[in-house]
Amino acid sequence: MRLWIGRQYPALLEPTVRIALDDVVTAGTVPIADVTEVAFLPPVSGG
Amino acid sequence: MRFLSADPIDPAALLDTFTRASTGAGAIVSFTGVVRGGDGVSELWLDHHPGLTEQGIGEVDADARRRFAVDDLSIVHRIGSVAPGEPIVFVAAAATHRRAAFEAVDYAMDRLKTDVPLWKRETRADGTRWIEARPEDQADRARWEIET
Repeated sequence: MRLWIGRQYPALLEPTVRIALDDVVTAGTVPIADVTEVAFLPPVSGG
Repeated sequence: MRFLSADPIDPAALLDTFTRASTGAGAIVSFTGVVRGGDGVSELWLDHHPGLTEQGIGEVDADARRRFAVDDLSIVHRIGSVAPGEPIVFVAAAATHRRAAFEAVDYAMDRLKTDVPLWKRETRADGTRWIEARPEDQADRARWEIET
């Protein structure tokens, strides 16, 4: 999936864009076979 | 104590409550972030993701408690519309000694700025724009050698 996203939407793989799988923020390589929702979170700016 | 508030927060009252509850502490450190006035911003809008934002703040809280010898930690963050001069975030730590309390608050603020799903949109006379964490914020975060 990362390869496909990198080709179609490279901006989504910027390190400041977080990925949440089924409402859990993840990092690194994670199996997504049983995942029902993939969300891309834009760069954050709290505090 | 940690929560998101759509209403204005009162750092003095929060610190008073926190201090009264930290009976065994020898050091209490607090930080209040305020929307800067005088630089043309008329409103700051704090957006969040119900669920993920609370989860993110919870992780910051747990990580800070694990890394530093603090007895208690408080994180309160505004959401919604915030005016210049109003508090946007309150963080406090109680510890036996001051160093742990200072570092826990510093660490929590760096993580809030770079890790927690919160988004700022500022309004100026010429329109609105979303704000990203600055390179300085990322450099501050990198001091703690946090794995992503």
